[in-house]
Amino acid sequence: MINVINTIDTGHEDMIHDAELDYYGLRLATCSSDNSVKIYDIKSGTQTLAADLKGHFGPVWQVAWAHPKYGNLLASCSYDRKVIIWKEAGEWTKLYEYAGHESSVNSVAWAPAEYGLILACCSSDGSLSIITYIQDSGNWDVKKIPAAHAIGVNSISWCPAISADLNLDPLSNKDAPKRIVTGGCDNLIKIWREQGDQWIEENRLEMHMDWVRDVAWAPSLGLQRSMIASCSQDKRVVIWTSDDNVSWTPTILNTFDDVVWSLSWSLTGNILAVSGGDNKVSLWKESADGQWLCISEVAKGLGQAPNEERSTL
Amino acid sequence: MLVILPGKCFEQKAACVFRHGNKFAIYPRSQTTSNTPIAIENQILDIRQDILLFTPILRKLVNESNGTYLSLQKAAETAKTSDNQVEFLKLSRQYRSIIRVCIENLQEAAAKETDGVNKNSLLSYVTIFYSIECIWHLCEILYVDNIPGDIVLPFLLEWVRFHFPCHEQTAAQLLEACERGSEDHPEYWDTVIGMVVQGRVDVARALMKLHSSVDSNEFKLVDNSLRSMPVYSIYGGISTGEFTISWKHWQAECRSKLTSRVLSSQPKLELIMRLIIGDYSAFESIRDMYTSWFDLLGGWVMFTSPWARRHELGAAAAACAGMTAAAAAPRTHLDLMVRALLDGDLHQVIHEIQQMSDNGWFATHLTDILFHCGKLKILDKHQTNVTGRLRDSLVLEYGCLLMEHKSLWSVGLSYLATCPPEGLRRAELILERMPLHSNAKAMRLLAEAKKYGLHELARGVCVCMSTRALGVDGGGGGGAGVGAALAWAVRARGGGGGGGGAACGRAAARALRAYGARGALPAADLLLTAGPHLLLHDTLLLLGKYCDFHRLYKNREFKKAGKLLVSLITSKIAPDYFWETLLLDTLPLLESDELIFSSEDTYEIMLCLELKSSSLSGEKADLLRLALVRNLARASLAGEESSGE
Repeated sequence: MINVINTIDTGHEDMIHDAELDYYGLRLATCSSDNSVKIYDIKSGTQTLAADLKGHFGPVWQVAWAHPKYGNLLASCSYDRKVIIWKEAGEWTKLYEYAGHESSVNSVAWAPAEYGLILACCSSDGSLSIITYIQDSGNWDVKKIPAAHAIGVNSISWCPAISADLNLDPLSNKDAPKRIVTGGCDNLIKIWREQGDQWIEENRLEMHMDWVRDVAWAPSLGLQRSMIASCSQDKRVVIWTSDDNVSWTPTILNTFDDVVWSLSWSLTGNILAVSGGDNKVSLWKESADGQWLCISEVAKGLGQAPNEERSTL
Repeated sequence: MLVILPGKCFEQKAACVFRHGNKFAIYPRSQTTSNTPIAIENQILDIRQDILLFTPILRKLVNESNGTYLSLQKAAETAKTSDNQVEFLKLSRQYRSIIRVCIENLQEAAAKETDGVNKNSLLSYVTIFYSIECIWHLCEILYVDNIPGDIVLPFLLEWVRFHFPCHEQTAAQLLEACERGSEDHPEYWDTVIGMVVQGRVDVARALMKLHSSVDSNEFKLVDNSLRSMPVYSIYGGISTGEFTISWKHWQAECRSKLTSRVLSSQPKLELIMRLIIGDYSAFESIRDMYTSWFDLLGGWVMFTSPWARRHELGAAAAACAGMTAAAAAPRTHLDLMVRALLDGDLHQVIHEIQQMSDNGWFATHLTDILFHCGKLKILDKHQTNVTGRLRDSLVLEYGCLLMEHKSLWSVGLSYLATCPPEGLRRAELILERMPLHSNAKAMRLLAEAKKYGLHELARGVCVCMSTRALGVDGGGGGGAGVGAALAWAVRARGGGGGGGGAACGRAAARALRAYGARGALPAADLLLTAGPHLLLHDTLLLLGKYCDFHRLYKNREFKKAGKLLVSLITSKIAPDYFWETLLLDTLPLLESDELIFSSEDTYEIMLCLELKSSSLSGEKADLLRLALVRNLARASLAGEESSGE
């Protein structure tokens, strides 16, 4: 049985584009077309507005929480071509502003905490930026990858630190190369690897027949397997698997009735939430024999999962 | 699973974000913008899947079965070298007794409950666990227990009697009253027949003795037939072959008595005779007296093939299940499971069990014990043995589920730890996101992490706690935050390896700055006892030594204090912002009555003063220069005196 335990009234004056829970699941950050970012404390079933961040001058597309070992940091990206990193020290204030893109910044993602405080973002100008905090100087260093995807980049996601190089012992390996996956308007998914102080295109995955809307690298379970989920305007969700992070095998999870906009992996990477233009969120799980099954569907009005009548004896 | 969401908030597209495990949030998400702001109800829904096992009344079940599970893992370890079947049977019984206690508790609570809805849910739990116990018992008989000679009948009868105790009470009442003419009791015959089909021949005969016409020939004949029925016993000294011959002979005799029509005046006695010769239509005729076909299973096997072995039970089950006008009625879940079990299709059994709404408790524990008993062999479509994988995936799922609970998480962790390496990695992912509400929670997490060798996690917890403590102090409050930050940072490095160094540095720097601003050193006692941990970071070392300097100075051990201070100055590990403090600390020592600094020391301090002119200049620097020069003079004089002697 599923219960709605709480309803959070966001008070945004326009459409919400993203909602992200912090590391501990105690705070929710939302962003909207009303140019604002809001943070709610959602402890013990009640929610209070903790902050209303105004600093963008355009719709805010996405927000991302940093690892708490770096303090309470939130990054946001907007149509106004800017990325803002907010910090809480008593009050929420602007810690750093990055304005190195020539068009809307569509997605932000913090690197695995093991690598340090590093933020990746991508833009409609087709380029990516990797922004690294330099502890000693207290400055931010920016590396830009120009012309990553033609027409624009929609989504960016980091490879978990532990499975970065699957040929090494997954638990002790620290020096594995950093990897990033991106999805763009050229219908491609690209994997980027850091080499020296450069980022090089390591792989391009071709499968989708329309704009790739979201890519998400699955959390690593310490196994010799890496997994990426991608979704596209072509209504398909594809799961890419690899045992060496170099050669990738696609499996079509499903072809939906409408454009698929976003993907979210559960904490241990065993469930994938898919949300699409058909007002539905469905949850998918890989069975022991490698098949992807829909375990639940949440939709406006009614949703139904198989085996409903068998759930009780 | 059925979810109905308030419609209005989903005029827009929906998206989902995961919280922990059974919780997630749904929000209306849009990828596009429009020129005019769209006024919509921008609500975010926090959604949780209800977990039966998190009901407080089931806590005991979860905790106790955890103990048994862990004992079972140990037993499985020893079973690798020696046969441990007896131990497995003991543990299986332990599981069942835990379930039975749980059912009793539920029944008790249901009896007390006044709220109708709650009462109903408690009763539905009873039904669930009742079925679980029933299936587990049968599984134990068929797969865990080592039955002598593999003759399952006595065990099967025991199972039927235990779980489907029909007529038992009436039989007891009648026997206790012990009145001739008991046939007037409305359930007399049903009870006698019930005892026959449960294989309780002695009870059936005792009941028949209470009938007023017990002395008639018909009664004597049936009683005689029941009495003379051969009963197989593995220790009886005869082979199954011999037994089969004598049993068949007995049944042939019964059959001939029946065909002689001597019983035609007593239809009930005739029915009993038909039952004991295993007449299908006789069994069929009484099927409607019982709610399920399980009631008849024991009797059917007893009177058709008492020598049946485990693998022969499938046919008996099929016969009994088919014995009914109600065959058309929908089969219950329990039906399907018992059938699959008797057919020996454990894969199907586990599949069915997984559909039960006990959140995998049963499937996990049963699969685990069957796996360790070596009785489970499940092949996938490529004929690869996936039994271990199935067991692991169930244990992982169950462990992860418990990890989501605010107090059962350590139980969940113990399950995950039995599935290396994936289990511990999953545990790590979940644990590092466990909210650290308090120091106590963090300490507990730390202890568990160490127990399972999750050192990286332990370090992460310490670093986060350290960062948080600094954040608390960020507003410029007292030194308590810095002290806590230092303590956590030092603890982060306690486990060895890398990671906490930076945190140590950060916290130590904050402490030094705090001293500069307020003149009080936080966590002095911690630093004085930190010992080798001080070596973790230069700034921390400086802080520790500087603390020590203060202690010596307070104890008026000025010589030692001076020596330490000079070594701190000459080692040049101090950050720029701390030079002023260090240099000015020499002043009282330079001015003291006793000579503290030698001329070499004084030269060193002078040199540093000039090198660090950016840190200390103006009036204060001049004052210090003067003191240094005066001290140099004193030191030179003292040096001449001592060399002149």
